[in-house]
Amino acid sequence: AVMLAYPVGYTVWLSLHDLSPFNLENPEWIGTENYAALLKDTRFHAALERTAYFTLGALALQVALGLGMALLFNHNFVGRGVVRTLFLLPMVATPVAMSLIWMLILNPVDGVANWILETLGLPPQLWLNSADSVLPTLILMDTWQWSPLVMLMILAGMTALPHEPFEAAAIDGASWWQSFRFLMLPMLRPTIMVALMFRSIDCLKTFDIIYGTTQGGPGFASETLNLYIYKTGFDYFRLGYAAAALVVFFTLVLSVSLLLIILRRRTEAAA
Amino acid sequence: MRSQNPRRERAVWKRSLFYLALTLLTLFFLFPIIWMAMASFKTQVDNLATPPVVLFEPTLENYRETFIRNPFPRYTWNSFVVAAASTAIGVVVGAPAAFSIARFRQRGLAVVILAARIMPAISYLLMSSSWQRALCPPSAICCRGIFSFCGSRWSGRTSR
Repeated sequence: AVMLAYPVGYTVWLSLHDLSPFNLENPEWIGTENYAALLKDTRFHAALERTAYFTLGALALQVALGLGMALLFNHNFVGRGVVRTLFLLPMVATPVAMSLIWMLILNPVDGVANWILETLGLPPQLWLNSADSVLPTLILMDTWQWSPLVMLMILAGMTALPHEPFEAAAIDGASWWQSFRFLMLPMLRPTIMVALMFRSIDCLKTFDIIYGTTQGGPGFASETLNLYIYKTGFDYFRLGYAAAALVVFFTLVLSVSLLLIILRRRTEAAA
Repeated sequence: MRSQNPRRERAVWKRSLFYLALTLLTLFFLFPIIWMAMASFKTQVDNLATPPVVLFEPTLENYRETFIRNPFPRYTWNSFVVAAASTAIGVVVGAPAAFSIARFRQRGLAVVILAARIMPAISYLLMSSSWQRALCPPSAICCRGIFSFCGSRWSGRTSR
């Protein structure tokens, strides 16, 4: 417990001080000044909004796609095992290496993505190079990497479901949609909640794919909380201020996951 | 016979839709990886060509560069050491902790450990002195380990 509590405690302690490379030896106690400054920091607010946007977008896409794919893989077809294994490749790929590959693919001038779009008669995109499209593109990259994980979790939940309710529903003449909506979804809810919890924590904390591609740019267009804190701490060396932002960030992620835990327990109690 | 036909037609439609969706998804998920593999055999010129080239003369130059001009085995060894050590520590510390949480239903402890997983890795970097840094990797690893054990237990419960 000491090992766990120490970093948290130290961060909180640091957030109440003014610490920079100029006074590493004796940080100055400034109370809640760092927090007061955070409240007025528009760049911090913007980063907060971007983090929310990224997380909500990525979660929605990943759960929808993961659920859809799990439904597909719940059928029997030739080569199911092989295809399913192939689908897990994105999860195994290293995020930093994939960032480089995505930069190659999504290059607006000579990338293959735009070439495909043009061949299909669609307008080419600026992808990571425009302030308007950089976050959706990053969401797409995150979705590519992690919806297989969501698929795997939901699929595991699906195969564990009992057959009887579905047979009964079929005999009663329920349509496919009805048995999906009123049987499968409610029974899968705990599984989906677990997937949501894992993914929301990781999405809020996303760092590698953003740092590997845009470093928060163009401008500040893809600067999420984690990136902003990293820059404050290690580019601008405002360590105390970074710690304060970190405490806020940490509280945010913790409350989101606690909320999800409570929701989950409630659905479990209802089931 | 006549009533049989529309139904069969619908089944065929469904089948083809199913395979279409499957193919599109496979393309989406595999394309970047295939492209990466292809890029590794291409020359710089081919990699930057417009329109992109699909058929090209493969070269091993990139691999030569990787293995001979860089200490690639050393990098691999480093990754391996980190992975093996953190797995070992994670299991040794994590398994008993996860067991106690599961057996004695220590919700509070579970939340504390969850908190450690939530904590952004940057806060470990913020520690300035060396003895503080020495503490970080083990604690980070243990939390991860414990949590994944709890995680498997939790998802195990849901699939019941």
